[in-house]
Amino acid sequence: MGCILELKDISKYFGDYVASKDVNISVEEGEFISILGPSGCGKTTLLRMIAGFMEESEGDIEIMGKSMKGISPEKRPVNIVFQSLALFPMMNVYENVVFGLKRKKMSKEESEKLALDMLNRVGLEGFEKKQINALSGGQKQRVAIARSLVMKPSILLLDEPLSALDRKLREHMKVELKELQKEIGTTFIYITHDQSEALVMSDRVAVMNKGLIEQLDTPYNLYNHPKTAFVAGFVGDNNRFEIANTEGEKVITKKGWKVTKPALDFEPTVMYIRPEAFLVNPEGEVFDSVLFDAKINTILFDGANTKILVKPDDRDEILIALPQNARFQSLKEGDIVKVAVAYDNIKCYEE
Amino acid sequence: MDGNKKAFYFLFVPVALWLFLLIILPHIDLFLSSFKPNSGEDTYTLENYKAFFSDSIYWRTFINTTLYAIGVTLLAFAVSFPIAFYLTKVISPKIAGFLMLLLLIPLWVGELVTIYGWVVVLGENGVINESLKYLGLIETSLPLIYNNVSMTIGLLYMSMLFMIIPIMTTLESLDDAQIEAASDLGASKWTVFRRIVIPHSMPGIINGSIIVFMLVIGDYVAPNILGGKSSLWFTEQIYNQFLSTFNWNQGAAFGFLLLIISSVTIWIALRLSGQKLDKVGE
Repeated sequence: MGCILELKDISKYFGDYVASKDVNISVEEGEFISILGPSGCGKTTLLRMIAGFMEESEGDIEIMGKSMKGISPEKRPVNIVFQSLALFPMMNVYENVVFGLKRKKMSKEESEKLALDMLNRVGLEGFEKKQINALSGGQKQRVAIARSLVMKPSILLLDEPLSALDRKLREHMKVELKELQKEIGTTFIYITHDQSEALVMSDRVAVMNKGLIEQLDTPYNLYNHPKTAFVAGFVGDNNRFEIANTEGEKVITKKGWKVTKPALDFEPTVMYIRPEAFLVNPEGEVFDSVLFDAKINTILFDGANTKILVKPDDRDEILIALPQNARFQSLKEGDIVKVAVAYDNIKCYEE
Repeated sequence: MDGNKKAFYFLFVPVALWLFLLIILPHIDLFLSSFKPNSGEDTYTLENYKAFFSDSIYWRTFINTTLYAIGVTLLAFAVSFPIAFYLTKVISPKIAGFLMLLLLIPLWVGELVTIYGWVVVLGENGVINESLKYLGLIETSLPLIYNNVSMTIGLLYMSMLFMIIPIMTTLESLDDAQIEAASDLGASKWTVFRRIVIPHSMPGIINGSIIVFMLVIGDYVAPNILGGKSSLWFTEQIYNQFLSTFNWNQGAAFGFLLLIISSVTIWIALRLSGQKLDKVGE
C-alpha cells in the first residue's frame, strides 16, 4: 500500500481571508479519511482543490506521485459526490451512471456492463429506467455514489453527502458507506461537520478549524487523546472548564472548583473532562483520582445515553454519563453522590 | 356573496371586459370581414383568400417572411444564449444586474426610436460611414442600410431581450454542481453544454423562441425602415391592403393567414423539439 494522495503545505487565500493554511495530509491507498470541522473551516475548499475546481494559492497536491498543478477536473483520477448530489434530472438512473463511462473510449457493451454491475452493487438493480425525481433520498444517494464509483477513481471525494437525509436514514447510510468502501477498496475522502459520521466511518480523521488541521489521527486517539482544546471540545461530548489560576498542586476554575492538576509543563487555561470519565459512587478504593461529593441537579433520561447534571460546591455544572447499570436506577434529583475522576482523564490545554 | 367572491369578480370582470371588447370582438369582426367582398355587398365569399394564392407576390412574401422569421429566431438564440449564460453563470450578480439594466434601456424608448437609432448608425451619412471616411478607409459610403442585413440587425435588436430573459430564468435554476459534476465525470466543455446546460434550459429556449418568432413575424417597423426593396415583409402587405388600396377585407384575410401560419409554425416547432405547450415556462 502506497501513498495515493499527498497534500504538501496547501494554503488558499481569498483576498485577506485564509481558507486553508499549510495543510499537510498524506493518504494511504484504500484508506477512509474524513475531514471534520465546523462550517466555514475550509474543508470544502480543500476538497474542491483536490478535485481541481479551485487552485491552491501555495503548495502542491500529488496524486499517485504526480503533481496535479494545472490539471483540469475532468483529467484528474478523482471523482466527487456532491453535497447536493448534482444528479442530472433530465436523464434516468442508468444514463446518469453511464454518463462518465461514455466520455471514456470504451465499447458500448463494456460500459453497459460496468454501469449495471455498479447499480447492482449499490442495490439499485431494476431501477435503470427510473427518473431521478422518482427516487427517494437514499436511492438518489446511491445513484450519486454509483455514478462516481463506476469511473474507478483513485480517490472518491464525498462532500457531506449524507447531510440532506433524515437521521434514521443517515445512520443506515453511514454503515452502508463504510461497508461499501471496505468491499471495493477505493480511497475515500469524506468531508463532514458531523463528528459521529467521521468517527464511525473513518480510518483516520483530520479535524480542521479556521483553515488549519488541528489533529490528524485515528478516531480512537482523537476521542481519547485530543491534542488541542478545539479537538477536545469539538469531537464528542465534553465538559469544559475555564481555568482562572493555579495554586500549587491545584487548578482553580473560574467558578471556583479546585482540582488536582496533572503534571504539566505549561500554564493551562482550559480543562476538559469527558462525561463518561466520571465514576459515580465508585466501589472499592480508587487511586490517582480526584474525589468529590456532588448533588444531582437534574437527571437527563435518554435511554442508553442517560446523563446527570451535578454541581460540586454549587459551582461548575458537570455533565456525567451514567452507565446502564441497575445500581444507578434508584438515583433521584437532589441525591448526594460520590464522584471520582482519574487524573489521566483530566485534559488541560493552553488556549 | 362572501368577500372572496366579491374580490374574484372585482378582479375578473376588468380582465374579461378587456379581453372581450379589445381582443375577441375586433378579431371576430376582422374574421367576418375577411370573408366579405370589397364591393360592400352583404354576402360571404372566399375571394380574399383565393387572391392570396393566385397572386404569387402575396404567398411568396408570406413564405419569405416565415422563413426569415425562423432564421432570425435561430440567430437570436445563437446571440442570446452566450449572453444569458455569461450574465447568470460567469459574472457576479451585482455586475449582471447592471448589465441587465443596460439591456433593458432600448425597451424603454420604444421600438420606433431604437430602429431610427440604427438608421443614424448605419445610414449613408451615418456614424459608421462618416467615421470610416474620416479615417480615410473608404471614399464613398458603404451600402450598410436598406438591405436584409440591416433589417436583420433591427429585428434582432428589438427581439433579443425576449430570448435572453427566459433563458436566464432557466439558467438561474441550474445547480452549478451539475456542471461541475459533469466535468468531474470527464465531460468536455462542449459535452457539458450539450448534455447538461441546453437540456436544462430547454423550456426557456422554447419560451423565448416563441416570443421572438411572434414578434419578428408580426413586426412592421424594422422591415419598413431598415429593410430594402427586396426585403418585403408580409406585415407590409397587410398595411398596404388597409391603408394604400383600402381593401380592408383583403387585409383582414391576410391578417388571419398570418395568425394561422405563426400558430402552426409554433405548433410544429414544439412537436419537433418534443416539448409540450403546457410545459413551456416551467
